[in-house]
This record gives sequence, structure tokens and C-alpha cells, in this order.
Amino acid sequence: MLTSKKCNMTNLRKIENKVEKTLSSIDHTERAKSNPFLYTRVMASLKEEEKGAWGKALSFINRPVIAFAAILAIVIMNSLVFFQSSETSQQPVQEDDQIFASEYNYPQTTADRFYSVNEEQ
Amino acid sequence: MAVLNESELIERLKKGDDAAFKIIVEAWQDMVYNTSLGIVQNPEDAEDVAQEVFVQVYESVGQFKGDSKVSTWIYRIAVTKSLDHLRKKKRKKRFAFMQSLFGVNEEEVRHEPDFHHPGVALENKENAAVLFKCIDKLPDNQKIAFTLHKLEGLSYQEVAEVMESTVSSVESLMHRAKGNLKKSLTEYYQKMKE
Repeated sequence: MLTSKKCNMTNLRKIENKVEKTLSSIDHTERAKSNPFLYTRVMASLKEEEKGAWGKALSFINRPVIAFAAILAIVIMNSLVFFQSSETSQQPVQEDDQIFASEYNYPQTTADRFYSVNEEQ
Repeated sequence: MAVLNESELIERLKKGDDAAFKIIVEAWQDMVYNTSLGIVQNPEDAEDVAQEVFVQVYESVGQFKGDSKVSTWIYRIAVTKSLDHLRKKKRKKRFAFMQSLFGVNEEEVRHEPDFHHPGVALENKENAAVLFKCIDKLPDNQKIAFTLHKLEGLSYQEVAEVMESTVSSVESLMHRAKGNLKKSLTEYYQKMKE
């Protein structure tokens, strides 16, 4: 009984010593040396990133969904402009002329213009 | 580095001077690599992280106001990038594990080999590998404090500046880190005995 206790104690002490030794095993460790070509690698990575930004933008635009959506948007905008312009062309252009003429006291119809010219003469 | 004027270098870099950037990379690359190596515990990953750190330095130099030392600012970026890298790696591992459970990914989930820091003395290699395994299990802030203090040799004051914290909280972090490491090392060696 006593010997087993003694044995346990020595085991514990051995483990404690081992733990202390392990804990101090990285004291005074030399600094690890890095790759001497790190600067070249960093510069290459920076250039790639620069290219990558444009590449990402291009690949985003080239995606079928985006391209199709852009084409669809252009078609819709064109057709809207077309229909709007055709609607305005159906309205009598005269309206604008009449407003203009009334604002500047200009003869509104061809007949008026004819009479006004004759009156002046 | 003392010969070079840090603020002048930063000003030149802000103007897009590549020569100044080269000086900065060459002056601090070992510091960045060693810090990230201590955190990510893989040489290839640490190299990738170091590269990311300097890309970030180049891109965000405009935001550096000179409130702290350049090295402190670079340390902060290195620590953040290393932790991000670890998180990404853990996420990938979890995803691969899930895939292996559902039989989508037939490749077995690989276990990382023991990490051997190249700067550790030969007679300590074995013990250091066990210690690094335990460091990896520490919570992030304890891991950062322990790595910066032990591997980079920073004082508690310097660690506090990097972590944007106080000296007393760094002391407390170090105390807890040592306690946790003692506990997990004891468990490890007890298991080895059995």
C-alpha cells in the first residue's frame, strides 16, 4: 500500500518535471526564416489582384443572366421611348405652335399670316 | 531598422513607392513569418499568411495614422490574418468531415502531422512538438499572448500594444495560458504512462 503510494508520488513528480521541461522547450527559440522571394510573391499577388478586379467585372458582365437582363432592359427602354415618341407625334403639333404664336402675338394660322402681311402692306 | 526612418518609409509607401515597400517587406518578413508560423503551425500556410499580410500592408497603408509603431501595426495584421486562416481551415475540415459522413467525399479526413518549429534546438524538438499541439488547443487570445511572448520574445508591454489591451490583462492571459498548458500536458503524459 505504502509502496504503491510512493510509486504514484514519484510518477507524479516525474510527470511534473516532464511538463516543466516541455513548457520551457520553446524558450530561446530562434526566429524562423521566411522565403527570401517573399517580396516577389507579394508583388505578383498584388498585380494578380489588380487584374483580378477587372477580370471579376468582365466575368460578371459576361454572365448569361446579367447579359440577358441588360439586353432586356435596353429593349424595354427603347420600346418605351419609341411608344412615347409615337404618342407625342400623334398629338397635333399645332398645339405647340398655337401656344407659341399666342405668347408672341404671332398670327396663328396661314390665313391669319396672309392677312397680317397684307395689312402691313 | 533603427537606421531607417519608419515614418519616412510609410510616407513613401503611401505615395506608391515600390522601393520603400521592398525595404518594408525585407525588414519585417521574418517577424511576420515567425509570428504566423507559431499560430498556424504549418510552414506553407505561414508563407501564404505572410504574403497576405504584406498585401494588406500595401493596400491599407493609407489608413495607418502613425499612432503606434510600424512593427506593432504589422504584428496586428499578422495576428488577424493568422487567426482568419485558422478559422477558414477549421471550416474546411468540418465541411470535409461532414462530406465524409455522408459519403460525398470519399477521401478520409487527414490529420495534421506534428509541427516542428525550425528555430527550436534539436534536443528540445520532441518536447516542443508536444507543446505546440497543446498551444493549438488554447483559446485565441491566450494563444496570441503566449506565441508573441515566447516565440517573438515580446515583453508584456509590447504584447499589450499589439493586442490593444493592458499589461495586467496580458499577465492574466499568460497565467491562464500556462495553467491550461500544464493541465493538457499533464493529461498527455499521464495517458502516455498508461
